[in-house]
Amino acid sequence: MTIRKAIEIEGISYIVFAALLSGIFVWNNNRPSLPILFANTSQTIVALSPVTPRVERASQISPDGSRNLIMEVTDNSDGTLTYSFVTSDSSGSVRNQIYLITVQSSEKYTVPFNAWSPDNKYVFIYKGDANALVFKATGEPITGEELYIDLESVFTAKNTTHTIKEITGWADPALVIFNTLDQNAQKASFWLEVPSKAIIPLSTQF
Amino acid sequence: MAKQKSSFSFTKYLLPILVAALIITGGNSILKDNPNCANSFTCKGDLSLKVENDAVGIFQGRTVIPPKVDLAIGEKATSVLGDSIPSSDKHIYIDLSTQSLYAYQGETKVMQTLISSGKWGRTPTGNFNIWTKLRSTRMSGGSGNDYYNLPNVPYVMYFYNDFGLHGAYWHNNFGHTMRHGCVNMRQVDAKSLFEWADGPTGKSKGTPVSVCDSFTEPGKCTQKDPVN
Repeated sequence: MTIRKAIEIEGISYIVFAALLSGIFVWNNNRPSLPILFANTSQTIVALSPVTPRVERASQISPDGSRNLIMEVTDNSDGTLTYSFVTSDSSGSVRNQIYLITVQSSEKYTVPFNAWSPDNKYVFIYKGDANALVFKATGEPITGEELYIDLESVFTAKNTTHTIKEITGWADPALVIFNTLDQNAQKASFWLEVPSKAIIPLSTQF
Repeated sequence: MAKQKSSFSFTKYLLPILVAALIITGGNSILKDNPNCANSFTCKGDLSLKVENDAVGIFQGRTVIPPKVDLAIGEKATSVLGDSIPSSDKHIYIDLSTQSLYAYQGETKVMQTLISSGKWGRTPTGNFNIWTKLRSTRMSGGSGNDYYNLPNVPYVMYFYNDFGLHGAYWHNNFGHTMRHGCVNMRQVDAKSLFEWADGPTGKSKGTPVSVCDSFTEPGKCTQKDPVN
């Protein structure tokens, strides 16, 4: 084999290697982002910017306009606040009480823009700045014994490395989307599956 | 000898780099969603009225039940946006930075709401006109876990190829980007906008739609890389 021939073979092999490497790079960059399975972990809190400011009465219509979630806040004489959450049809004639609670004035509940699940089966409300309670829109318990799912409690029981930053809305009729930060301030998004309470990490951020 | 060394360097270093650059550039453009399409399957297919009340949708690998559409029921609302103010030019603005939609009739803002524009298939910025309005149609595209096939997508207003404004019944995450390049709205908002906005008629174009990187007020729409 001549030196020239050897050089040509070597050159071709470099080209093939470069083509393979760049092909893998292109494939990897373009593959669809898939949710990956959850590994046990979890955790804390930061600030959510509530879409609806707390007022005496606030409400949020469902995406199809057929239902309404109404929050009423009563100032009690002892300084506490009583929150009442009711779902109703658009005429207001059919009403279901989903939650009634009296709390210290420092505790805050609000109704988000994306409160309703797309099929109107569930609603969530904000509790504080970075937690959400998920209810059945009928007012029935969401699981056999529980009236609601406390997102932060479910998440912190499974994940100790991330802090909830924002709960954004519903990815589908049963998936609540929330964003977190880890200890290195890296963002990560998760789904809470209702009513199974599964936490599903996402490979992309919302 | 010197010539042979120069050829050796070219094949050993420069040519592989050129090949890699070609593959990356070409491969990306082939594999990425066509920027002129929002829905890769229905984009080149049938962009027409479709009512499929017995069909089910697929989104994120799950079945979703679409809303029933009855064309026999009068769709015209008793109260249409802007009916209490003088008739004047209409304009829809999309602010991608805040994921918001604004509808103006003259100087008056008749609607402001949150939307979901494209996440992986970016909604193109530019100035368009609604070229058709459909009460309902099917949209499909994506692949793998990203595959979707959605019948009865309500209140569709296409403004650039198959990029359109429409109601979304499969998610409620408005204010945040979602899947592909269309502008998703709550059904209740899409219905109001659909009844207010105009499609093309005879000599006049449909209602203008400006997709902005950021928007503050009519005439102040920032578009960094518009498609037109």
